[in-house]
Amino acid sequence: MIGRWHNTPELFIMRCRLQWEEGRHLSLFPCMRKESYQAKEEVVSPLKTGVTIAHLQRGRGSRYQTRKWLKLHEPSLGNQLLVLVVFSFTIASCAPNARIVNETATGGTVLYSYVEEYDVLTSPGRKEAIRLLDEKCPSGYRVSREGEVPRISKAVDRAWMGQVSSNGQVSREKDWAIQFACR
Amino acid sequence: MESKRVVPAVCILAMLGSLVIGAQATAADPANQSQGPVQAEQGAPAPSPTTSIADPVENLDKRLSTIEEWKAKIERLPSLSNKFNIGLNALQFLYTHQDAHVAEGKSQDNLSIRRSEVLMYGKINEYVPKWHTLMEMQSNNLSLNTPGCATTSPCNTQPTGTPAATTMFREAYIDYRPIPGIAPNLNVIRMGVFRMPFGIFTETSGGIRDVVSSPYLTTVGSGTVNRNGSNSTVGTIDFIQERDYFADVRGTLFNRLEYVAGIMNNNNFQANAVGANGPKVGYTRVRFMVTDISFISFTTLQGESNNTNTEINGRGKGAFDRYGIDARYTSRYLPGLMVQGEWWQGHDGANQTSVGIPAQGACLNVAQCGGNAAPGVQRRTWYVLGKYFISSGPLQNFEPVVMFDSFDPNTSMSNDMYTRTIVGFNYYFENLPPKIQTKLSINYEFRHHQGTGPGTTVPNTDPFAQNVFLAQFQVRYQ
Repeated sequence: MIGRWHNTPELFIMRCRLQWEEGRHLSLFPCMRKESYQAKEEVVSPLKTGVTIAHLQRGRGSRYQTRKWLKLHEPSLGNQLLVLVVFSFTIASCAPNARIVNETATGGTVLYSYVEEYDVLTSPGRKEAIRLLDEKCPSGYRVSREGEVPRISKAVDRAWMGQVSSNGQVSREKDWAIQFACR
Repeated sequence: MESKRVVPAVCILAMLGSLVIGAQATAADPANQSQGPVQAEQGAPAPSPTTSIADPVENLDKRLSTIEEWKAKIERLPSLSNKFNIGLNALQFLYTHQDAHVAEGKSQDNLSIRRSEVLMYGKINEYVPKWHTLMEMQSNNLSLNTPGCATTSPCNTQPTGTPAATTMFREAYIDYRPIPGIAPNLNVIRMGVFRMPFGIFTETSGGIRDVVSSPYLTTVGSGTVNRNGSNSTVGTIDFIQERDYFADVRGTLFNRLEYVAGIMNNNNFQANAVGANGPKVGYTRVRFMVTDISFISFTTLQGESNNTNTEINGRGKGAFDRYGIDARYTSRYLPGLMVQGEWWQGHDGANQTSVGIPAQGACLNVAQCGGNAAPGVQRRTWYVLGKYFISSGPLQNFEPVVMFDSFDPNTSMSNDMYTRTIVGFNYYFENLPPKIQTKLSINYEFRHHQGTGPGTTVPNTDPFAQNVFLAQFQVRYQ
């Protein structure tokens, strides 16, 4: 019996690294690129080298100073909000314009959203989709079919016309799908 | 005898003459050649070799150019060029039955038009991608002003405010896109009066809401403040106004982070008639789109409010702030499931008042400053709503909805909570996408109001302590 895989953080990172080493990075998140990892390591390593146990073993005076420092720099609501905003921006920078669904070893379907009909061929989402296709199929791919697909399901889209929007107003955003197979 | 011979001859000549004249007349009228019983009796004439059939291709270019010319003219019509559109945001007929005791001349059963909103909108060009106006076309109450206190008599004995504004004019805004090349990072500067981007419900158009009632975060409580002084939980509280006059900047970063930042009059939609309520209030919202249909967002409002000249119930004099978190999950794994919620907390300045009740200043002396003479207060509210659209089977097009709503008018006071549970369903009639949407909403609300402070109870006339049945039929056309 095949055991079930659990998405532990270690496993997730391992998967990412494996994908990179194989040169077949399929992550949808730009922040997960190799450059980002290197940058993170550069930031982390000075901390690792600079902070030792000896540094943490401080005397009473140091503890007093630390408490004073903490009191002076007590995180205010404004600072917390700032951190929250920065955190949101960081997460947002990882978000893709397009995504692969129903992925198999030799193909899948790539999805991206658009608003107007003329955006189908020119939207940033399509560029991102093409990039994903190139990454997935380095030796080329064949598009079997493409077209508009429901955002949730045909019936739900029909009933919730405009409700599935981010701003409470009528949404005109639609999804376009490209079904492909690698050569 | 001769005369007898002449008469038939004259008759014959006359008949011949009339035949000849008739034949000539018939020949001179080609229209008659193709119709009439005479021809029918003669049968269809054989086609003459000299008669030509019109060639459909012969004038094709001419006909096409005529059509093109006509099309060019039609396309310039405002309604087809998207410059001007008209629609019905929501036409809602509502039946309400409430168990609360009512005054003489009133009924527990009520038929009303909840909304009759006519909408007009359009796009001018890339720099003005949208203009929008919305009118509430139904009988409306006049809004009172909220006067200050004259020095001639105690403030709490001075007359209440007089009608100052109507409420027919609801929404009107212009979107200005300064640099189309960097949209949607900096998408538009929006200016006007519209639903404020505070959380989810406030911003959601009345035509696409899931339950009939608005959540308590927009308005809760009934009546006015006690003019002999009362605590901060008495009277109507409009914690977050649905509309206001504002100017803000909106955009999307990294395709997933939507932001809004702006300033507003902080005096509801009546601000067009009565002006701003003190200094401007700033607001910001960041919304992170976890997926393209699910999000989490953070909102804050910061500024000052005044009790004099306010058009919003429950506002005092002094610091004003709101903090909100909202989230929505729309499932693709279980199509039709949607869950959303909001949590809000905020501070209202001292000496809050009801619209129309004179108030001035933050002092806690009703004779001097009117209002409720209560200190500043921290309020808190939250709700969670879930619904599931059934897309197949015998209950197709039904959508069960459940919502729990809670409002604490003073976080440091006990026995003052408003709570309710709403259960019901929507039924979506066959729509005609993408324009027409029709639905029936049936809701039952289990309402509970603890009191107005420790040791208090609420009367049986309190509508927030008595259950309600609501049935609403809606048509929407956009």
